[in-house]
Amino acid sequence: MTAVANDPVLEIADLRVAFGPTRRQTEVVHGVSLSVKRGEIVGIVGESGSGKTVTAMAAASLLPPGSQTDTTTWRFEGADLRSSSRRARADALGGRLAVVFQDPMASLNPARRVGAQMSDVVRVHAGRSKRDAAADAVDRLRRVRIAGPDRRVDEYPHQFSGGMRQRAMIAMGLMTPPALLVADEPTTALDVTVQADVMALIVEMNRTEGTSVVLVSHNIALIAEICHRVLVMYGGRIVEELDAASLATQARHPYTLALIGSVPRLDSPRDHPLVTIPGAPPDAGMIPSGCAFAPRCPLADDDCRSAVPLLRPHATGAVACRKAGLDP
Amino acid sequence: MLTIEDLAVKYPGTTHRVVERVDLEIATGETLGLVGESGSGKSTVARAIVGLVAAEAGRIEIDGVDTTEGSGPGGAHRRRTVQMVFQDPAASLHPRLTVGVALTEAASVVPGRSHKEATARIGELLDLVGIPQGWSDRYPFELSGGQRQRVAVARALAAEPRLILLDEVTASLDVSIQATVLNLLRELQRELGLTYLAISHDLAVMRYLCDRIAVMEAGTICEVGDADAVLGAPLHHYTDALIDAVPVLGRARDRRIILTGEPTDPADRPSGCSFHLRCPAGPEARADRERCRTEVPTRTGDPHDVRCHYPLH
Amino acid sequence: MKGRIRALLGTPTGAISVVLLLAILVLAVIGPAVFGDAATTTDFLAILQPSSSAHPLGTDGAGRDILARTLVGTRLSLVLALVAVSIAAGIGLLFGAALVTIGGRTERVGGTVIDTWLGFPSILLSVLIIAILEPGAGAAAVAIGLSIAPFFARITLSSAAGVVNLDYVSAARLLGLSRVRIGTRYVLGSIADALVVAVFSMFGQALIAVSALSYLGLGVPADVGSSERYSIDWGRMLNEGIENFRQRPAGALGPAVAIAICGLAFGWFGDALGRTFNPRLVVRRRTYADISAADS
Repeated sequence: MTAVANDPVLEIADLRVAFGPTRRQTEVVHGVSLSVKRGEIVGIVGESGSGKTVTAMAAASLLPPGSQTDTTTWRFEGADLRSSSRRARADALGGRLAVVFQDPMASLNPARRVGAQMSDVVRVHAGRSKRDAAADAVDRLRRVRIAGPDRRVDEYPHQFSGGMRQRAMIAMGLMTPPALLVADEPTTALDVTVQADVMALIVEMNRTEGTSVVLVSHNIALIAEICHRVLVMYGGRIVEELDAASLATQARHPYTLALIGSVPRLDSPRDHPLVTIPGAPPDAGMIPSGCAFAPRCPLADDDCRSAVPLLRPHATGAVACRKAGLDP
Repeated sequence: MLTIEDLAVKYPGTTHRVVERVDLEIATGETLGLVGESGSGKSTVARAIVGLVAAEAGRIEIDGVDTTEGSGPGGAHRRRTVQMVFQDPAASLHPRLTVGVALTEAASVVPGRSHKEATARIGELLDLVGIPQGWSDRYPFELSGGQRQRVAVARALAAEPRLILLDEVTASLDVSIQATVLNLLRELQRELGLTYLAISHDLAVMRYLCDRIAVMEAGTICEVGDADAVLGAPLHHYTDALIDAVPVLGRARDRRIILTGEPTDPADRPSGCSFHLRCPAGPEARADRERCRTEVPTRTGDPHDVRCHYPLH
Repeated sequence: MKGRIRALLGTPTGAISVVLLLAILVLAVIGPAVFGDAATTTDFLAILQPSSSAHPLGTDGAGRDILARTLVGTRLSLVLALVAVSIAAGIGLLFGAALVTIGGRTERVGGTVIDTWLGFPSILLSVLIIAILEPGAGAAAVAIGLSIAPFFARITLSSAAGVVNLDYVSAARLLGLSRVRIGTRYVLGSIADALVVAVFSMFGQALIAVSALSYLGLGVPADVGSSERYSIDWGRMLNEGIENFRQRPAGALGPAVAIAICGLAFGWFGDALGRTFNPRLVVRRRTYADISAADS
């Protein structure tokens, strides 16, 4: 694994995001803190309604205009973004932050050639000339292992396959070396062998360029395999935080444990029953009071239902649960 | 119970076969899994079995009755015996019909059953899948994804089938809900003596659900055998790469195989072995394996069967 | 039922349209009886008068009260537009539905037929049809009906084609449900709200089109005599009113505004009615606790 330096690339504290018309806003993220060190790969794992995508998009300053974002701290590479205008944020992030979205069909502009889209990045952010930018684009496509890059650069997105589009998106992010890559379910829509290939590319970027990564996924095995550190989100909050290496054996939150137990595995005996969690994850607008997981939790009591448990650090991470065994 | 011989399917208006030379057998009471990536043709095989898509060549037999053609006694037998549960919970139920109406309609197709009997039956069906009785007047949008899938299973059961095709039934569900549906399916199989053909791209789910697994690539079956044998000691290089590509919680990151490129497009199927351009042990990697380029590999005919000139053991 | 009414009247335009529609229907029924005299009494000493207490919109070229004529014209204009839309929707929907049910090559060829028909200039088509039938109110309605029909066929074909491949329709076919059942309950049932909205919003177009034909003299003929009050339509009024537009614009504006209001009212009502077909808008939202109750 890459050496992880201590200075943070991204620091967000107490993020709250709400959507909807001004009178009737629905809060979907309730006080999430995220910090990413240089060279670190942080994973955010959760199911639908957990707020993981909104958190990642907030970090990338990509939330739609109808949203309301609040933080107590927001720093990117040391620069304060919290009190900056949208424009100032775009300037600070452009060229330093790359994003890969889930849907490869929708991530590239279908009406423009791939090379042109990629060139835009360096022409706008690094002032490169048209010819130099075009050469950069070919080079980046080669770096992401797209065959025949000089030909591909003049093609349109619909001529690329799903996996190629994702790699092209990564290539676009590589045009100016990014400090941070935010990847929201980048391989969910891809076949598993293509997924392995794209994830290997991301890991390589992290190793060779030192790019930090925020990886969002519902696939806990994938997160554990790729990331240094993992945040587990449920109902718009972080319920557990720990090192990826400890995930399999030292998780403490009942949700994390149930999640791990409910996923079928290639290496467990066939008759080993899957853990089922009664109920369904809540949608953003329907989060119950108190601990969001309480209605589904076998350990929940009245205390759990009345007040939201805080995220408390312990020896190997942090957990937000009254019932989780904590260090004395 | 189900036998498929040399099945080939071509969609109207296209020139290539998306499924070719497929042979399959499913014994009564077992679960066979069809695993593959995009373009493998697994969904097409399922659709051909139920008649949603026409077979260009080959033969499908259920209980010894030829059901390849949709019409006539074969078609009727198929409709009585086989049902399917689809992937997308948002599209698997008619949005304007309540649960009760949809289930009654499905239960009424059983020959000889009166409307009254059908209505009574839906109570039992809801029980079987764990949906409260009072919910029969709810619309699909009032149900969660997992609940919709369970209603879809109930609908399939309403027609009293003996073989159920499960097409990626948990792929669109949250992980915590997936377990509920998978457990339900296993339980129903035990209780009702059902036979399943499960289709998925998710190897771990297939392992949990299936007795035997068939791996499809570019429209043909490249390996088939007991689930433990295929997943534990694969013979085909593609199966090996697939298994290796699946992240496993707790396993350190030590990938041996990275397959380059995309899954083979059946429209562009190469000559010889359809996998030879991607195969890490094939002609692209080893000069002495040119026959993979020109000769189509045949089945060995063993219980753990494979189509490969140079299988792993 | 309560949910349906709530969906219907729930939006401001929905509620307004219901009120307007009621008023229009009442007018259509009682108009000729109540205002017929005022509408048909000529007074050649008082032609083209400006608005006054006796004639709020003034008088037309024959001294007749414009407001009264506009109100009386509601019946015929409405009837003509309704007949036209009914013909169009009837033919168009059936044709579209038949094509989807038969499918295959027939569907593709039929689609091309519809598109060609749709591209045909409607005035030309109407003139042709009226030349075949005798010019008159009935012919105008039929002509417009046939010109608009391909629009409904196209909507039906496109919407149905979008639904036919969805999983729940496949599930219905697997169950062996009859083609008729699938065609009606599954396909048409899923696109019903779109069709309803289309029918009502086309009403305004049909009204304008029929009026245009009358304006051109191809529709309702001027009728003098005892049944004059039943043959007043807005299109004809437009024709008469345009001649004297400089002196008395109300003669043309009266019917023009009436056409606009009618079109709006029907369109808004169509939207509101479409909402009642959508269970999401009719049934109350469930709580999280309620939905989770089934998962233990």
